[in-house]
Amino acid sequence: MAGQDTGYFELIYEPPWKGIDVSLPENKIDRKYTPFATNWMPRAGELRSRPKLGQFIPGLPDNSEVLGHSSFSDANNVVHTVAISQTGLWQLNSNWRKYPGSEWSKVENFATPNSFPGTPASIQVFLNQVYFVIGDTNLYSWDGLTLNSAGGYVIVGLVTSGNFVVGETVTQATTGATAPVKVAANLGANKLQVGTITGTPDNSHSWTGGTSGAIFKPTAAPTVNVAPLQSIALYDTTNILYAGGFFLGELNAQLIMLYTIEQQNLTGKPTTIFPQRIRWSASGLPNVWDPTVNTSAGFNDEIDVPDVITGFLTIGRNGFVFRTNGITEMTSISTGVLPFDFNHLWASDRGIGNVYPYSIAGYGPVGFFISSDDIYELSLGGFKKIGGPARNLIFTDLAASISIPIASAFPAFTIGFPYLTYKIAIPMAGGITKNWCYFVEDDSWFPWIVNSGLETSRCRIAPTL
Amino acid sequence: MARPVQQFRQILPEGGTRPPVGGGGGSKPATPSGPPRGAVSLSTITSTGGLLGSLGVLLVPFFLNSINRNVFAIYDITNFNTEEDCVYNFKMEDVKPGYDIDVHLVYLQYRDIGKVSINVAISTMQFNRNTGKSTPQMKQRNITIGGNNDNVIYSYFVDMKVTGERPQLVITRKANKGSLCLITAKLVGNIESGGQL
Repeated sequence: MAGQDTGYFELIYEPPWKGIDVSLPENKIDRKYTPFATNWMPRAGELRSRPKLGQFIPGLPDNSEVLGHSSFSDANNVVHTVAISQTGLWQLNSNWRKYPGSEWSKVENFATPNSFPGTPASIQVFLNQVYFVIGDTNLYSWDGLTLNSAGGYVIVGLVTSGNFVVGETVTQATTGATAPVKVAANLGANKLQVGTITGTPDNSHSWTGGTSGAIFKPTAAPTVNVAPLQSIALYDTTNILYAGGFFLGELNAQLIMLYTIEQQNLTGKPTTIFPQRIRWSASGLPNVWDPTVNTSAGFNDEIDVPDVITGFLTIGRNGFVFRTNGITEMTSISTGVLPFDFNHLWASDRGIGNVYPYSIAGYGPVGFFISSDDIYELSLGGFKKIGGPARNLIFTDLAASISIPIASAFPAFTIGFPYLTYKIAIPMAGGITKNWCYFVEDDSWFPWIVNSGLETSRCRIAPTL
Repeated sequence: MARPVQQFRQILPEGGTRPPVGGGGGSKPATPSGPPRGAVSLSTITSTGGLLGSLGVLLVPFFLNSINRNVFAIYDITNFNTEEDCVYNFKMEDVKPGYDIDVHLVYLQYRDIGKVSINVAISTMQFNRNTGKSTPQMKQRNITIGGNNDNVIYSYFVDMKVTGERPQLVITRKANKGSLCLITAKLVGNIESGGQL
């Protein structure tokens, strides 16, 4: 405070703008903070009204709620931007600007409705394909190609002798074509499902199992098995049992599925939910989930801790399995029978965990999550509390949420505007969204109010051209 | 809950089997629509649709109440004319606790990113020693600044006199009233010479 004459003063407010501070009365906070503010961005030391939120791409043709979106490069190096809705998988058309009303093309509908509608999709891009779970008994994948040969081929005909076993190689007489058996087929079965075919098969000569000696007489040439959208987590190939889940990740070249939902080997194949189960694919083989087919596939039940899984994050070479009241570190130790080691950082019922299932978000070497007492940043260096002086107000808003808060971490708003942000979208009464934005390089929290609607899933950067 | 094994019909995605658009790397020739006949040709698998892969933007899946539709929105970093109100309360100042403060000038430094209309307000509490009650006071001015849109830093002075304890500056920019980029703000005043309240 400068005094030029008696009692003269100047009060200067200047950058850095540190955001909300409700930890002290409004006359006791530091001048760089604000006791109340809405819709500002403090980037580069300037206090700007936040960027305008507006429609960029119309929604899906059936107006279904978007549960997630992502982008990936397929095996031809072609980029696809896809959206997952309650009804199926869609992709953005390259000429969407030129043809209003035809922005999105359907890849495929889901065969059955999701039992947990509104559950945000958990998406992982791996080996030129997009994989996702939506809280049912399916782990879906799409490779972006015309025909998804990951599902294999079907040969229509008849098993005339013996029983084919999964994994054995079948050879066609005369043509010499070979293929591995994907699904067991017993005497009398009218189709044989195989994987990638080597050679040029025809529609008449018999196939013989190299291990079982079983014989299959075809009546048609092999055709691609199923539709583009594949359900791939066949964890029991003998009894044809599938698994899905709520959370998906990747570690050590293995897909990791958590809080699983699995068909059981009973009449009608009922579903069982395993809120403490972590299941992984074979190393480098995201379509193999049966440990009897490949020993590097498997699962682990976290039954030695009292809570349930609420998310998953990988930082560096480690995975972090978040539970309600704790965190388990998942470390890759081999590509064999026991590929992971599990170490509970907190195993009690009163540890630091993640209480909001979709508050976990990460970018590069940092991740963020919401615990019972604070908001944390997780990095290779450990845990850091970042709620700061805005924490109390953030938690007040979280408690007033009318639905699942959804968090996103993104490095930029567009190419050319980098600004690492962790944003928690809180749906509030009246159909409005209150976003709490943590700007990492300014270490500041600013709320952004959007009265026009609700965010339905995570924000991600995706190509649109 | 009983769940049937998922059966997927083979459905070609919309867009058929045309080659990828633009320079997307799909070097394989297109195949005819529909499942192949006879022996399968396993070497001609093209991409279904696809993009160039440029212009990445932050897509926000959003349910828009006004039209009852799900859309993909973006935060447009070329347009800071926010569609909602922007309100910033500065610190409530204890210049000298127990003394009446005269604020007579507000100084603003801003970067001109377009014309913007804002409300500049100063609030205080006037304490009546006789009655023992405090009464809130406020003075405010609506001003319009900017318009050159040249990204240059400009100054603006707001003459406004208000007296009382704990002055607090509040800047409000109503929805769609322009893009504001504030760099510095300053309150100027005097402590009343009348002494402790």
